[in-house]
Amino acid sequence: MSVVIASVTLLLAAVVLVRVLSPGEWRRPAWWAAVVGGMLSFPVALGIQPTLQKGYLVYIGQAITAMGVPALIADGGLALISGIVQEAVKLLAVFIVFKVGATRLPGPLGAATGLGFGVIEAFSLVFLPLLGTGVHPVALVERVFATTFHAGVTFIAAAGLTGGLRGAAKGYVIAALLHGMLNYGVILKAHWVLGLLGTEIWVAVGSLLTLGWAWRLRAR
Amino acid sequence: MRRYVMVLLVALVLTGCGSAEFPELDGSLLGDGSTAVYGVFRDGTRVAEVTMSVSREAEGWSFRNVTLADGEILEEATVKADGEFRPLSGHVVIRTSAGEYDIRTQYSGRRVIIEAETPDGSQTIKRTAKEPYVDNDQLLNLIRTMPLGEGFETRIFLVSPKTATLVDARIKVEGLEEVRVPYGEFTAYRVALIFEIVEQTAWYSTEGHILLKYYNGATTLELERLE
Repeated sequence: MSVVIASVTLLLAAVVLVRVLSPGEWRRPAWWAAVVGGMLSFPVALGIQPTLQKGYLVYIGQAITAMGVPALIADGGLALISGIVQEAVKLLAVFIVFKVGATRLPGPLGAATGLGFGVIEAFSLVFLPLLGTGVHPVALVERVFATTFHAGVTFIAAAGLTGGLRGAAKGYVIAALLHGMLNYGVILKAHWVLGLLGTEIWVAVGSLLTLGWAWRLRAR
Repeated sequence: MRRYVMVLLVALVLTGCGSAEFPELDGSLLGDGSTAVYGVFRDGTRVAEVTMSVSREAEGWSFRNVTLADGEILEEATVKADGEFRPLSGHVVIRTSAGEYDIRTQYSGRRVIIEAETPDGSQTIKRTAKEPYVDNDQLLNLIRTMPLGEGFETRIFLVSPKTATLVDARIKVEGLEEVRVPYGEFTAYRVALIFEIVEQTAWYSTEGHILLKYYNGATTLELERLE
């Protein structure tokens, strides 16, 4: 499949997500600022995350496994770090737009930030590197679900901003844990527990459950 | 709810559990062994050379692949296997501008232990493979022992010690083609190698199942010499 077709498909999926999580909100400048915030968040997260994960492996992961903890569990820290970093960076972007934009609905801004983050992630990690060879349908489906997850989980994290510092902390912790659980599928694949299909099902189910949670929050 | 979650988890794990059987292999197709030299071509330019050897040993088989570029060895891989081609051990040395990677693998039943010395330090990885599996550096020569023919298809897991991954591989004969390589012109089976979402192609002569040509999506190997 050509990269152009894959890109159009992903953007169409993003439009559907906009309809589900922030209907009407996309007309506001603050919503688009949140999309850009999400796009800018991705390289920031990419700059922080690998260093922390490498540090975890060297200083914590090896110590934990030396204590007899199975590597399958110890490596879960790597998945959790991705959640901790990416959700923090995205939530910071939402917070800035939320305060500057003077909007009363942070949830849709979170969805916008997640969409921006997910789309740039798909282009940076999958579509552009495969410009010459094309995108496999499985990779496209995975990116659609990953973008869905980013939109849903950042909606959940952002919704906490209406509850002050306590609400924001609660939203962030939930989002980081959900993200860690989703990425644990990759750890299970790396440990040869799940195959490719199992990993993709893991990502799809996790993304849809997260989207459902965000949708229920929006309905309230 | 808990029941559904348990069913989902079991289903997820089962998706990774293949029930494929080890394909029937014919070691006589390898004789006592052979050494084949391939030119590595990228965009029509010869960029490297790969020597693939297989030899019969006292209690099994030895597979060896060496990649040379500009007179320097870039990669050496050796796999020792038992009489039924099940891997027993592997050793890969990779030389890059970042330094040398020395990777040793031990196979015992489904248990796989990979010990790597890298420029960043040493690392040991223990995994449980799914059956049937072979070492990645055995594959191209191992296919020679398979009952290739119209409609042949099999599934096998590949252990790649270099990336510490287990890859679900399908091997499928797609048809017959006339193939011209520097070593000569042959009628060959066109064989698709489907590694999860990556597809590569290899051509094996119908007589003797000699690997004539291999395309991995970026470079092409073409047979130049055979001993």
